[in-house]
Amino acid sequence: MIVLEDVRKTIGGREILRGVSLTVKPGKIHAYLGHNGAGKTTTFRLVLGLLSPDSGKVEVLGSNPLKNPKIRAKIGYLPEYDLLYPNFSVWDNLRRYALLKGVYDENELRDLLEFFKLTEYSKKKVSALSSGTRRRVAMARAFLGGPEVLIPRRADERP
Amino acid sequence: MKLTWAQLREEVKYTAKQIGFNLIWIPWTTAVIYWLSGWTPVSSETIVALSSISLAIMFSLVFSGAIFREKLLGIHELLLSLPFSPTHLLLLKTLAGFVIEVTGILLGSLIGLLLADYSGIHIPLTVMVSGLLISTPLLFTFTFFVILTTLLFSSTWFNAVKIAIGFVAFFVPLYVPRYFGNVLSLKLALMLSLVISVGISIPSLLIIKSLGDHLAERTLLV
Repeated sequence: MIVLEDVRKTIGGREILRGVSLTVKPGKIHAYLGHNGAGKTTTFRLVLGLLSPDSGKVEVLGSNPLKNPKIRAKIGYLPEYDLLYPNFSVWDNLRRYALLKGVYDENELRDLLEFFKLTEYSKKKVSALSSGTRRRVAMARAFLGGPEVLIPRRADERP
Repeated sequence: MKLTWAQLREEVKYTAKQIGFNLIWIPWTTAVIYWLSGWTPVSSETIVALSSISLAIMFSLVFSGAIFREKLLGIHELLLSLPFSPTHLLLLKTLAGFVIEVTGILLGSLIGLLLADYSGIHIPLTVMVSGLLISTPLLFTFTFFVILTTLLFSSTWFNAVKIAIGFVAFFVPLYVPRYFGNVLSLKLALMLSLVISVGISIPSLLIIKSLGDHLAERTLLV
């Protein structure tokens, strides 16, 4: 469950969010749309606890992600750009993220590679992959640890 | 989330890959300084004392490259979304750098001692251990400071300042003893190292304390 209540955020003197309120209930899929500069990225960063709101409330699964970063272990984040280490293999990219996130499980990693049809690329460097395959790697990374909340940016991009 | 061995091991492995050539440069520079210390007119203690401070400052700067690269690729945002605080991330990266630095200096010192011994110059093992002790607090605090400031103020002028500090640190052990003789004993160097470490920790802690919940935001929006 994600709850935003009357959230305001100003960055660099520009008011990005003015009284944003939304509720995402468990088991529901929501699309968050807006033109360029509307504040989508800022909203997602607030939900992840990377930014602090000037006022208002942000809660994910009943916790403030800024004050309780542990809650982020239950969030899967697929950023707008793939944000992969280009000189690392697919396996190493996923392994590193899983280890740092504290959810490393070799079997789960293999399952995810299989699910996203990445097994054959697991030892290849990310820089050698097509953009679609790189996107699938980023998607697999978002699913590591079986998140309860998934935040996929640019979900319209089909690999 | 507590810092785990698995995280630290992964970060050491990652950092070692990212710093590349510097992985050899750290022990190599240390070895050469130890080896050459026997050839100078001043005591090996002075060379080791001065070098331990200079090397700690120089080697700490090496890690800003790996941090800068992650920022450039945007991966820093992804790391901030992990289930721990930005301070935890800073500590993890500092510890990884620290492990590499201490291992490099230890390895370099041992090779340097062997080379010196082979050349007929005896440097006591206690001098080497003292050198490592002098470096240790500086390595940790300066690496933390470098990583923190790189995340907060990455810019051309800031990189220029870091390069300038690196150059000064490089030339100090080469030229200071030549013109000023035995200026620094091991004891004095250890005190100096502790004073600099405390001095550098104060702004680091003040920055973290003053930014509070905005630390991640500030590193993200730079």
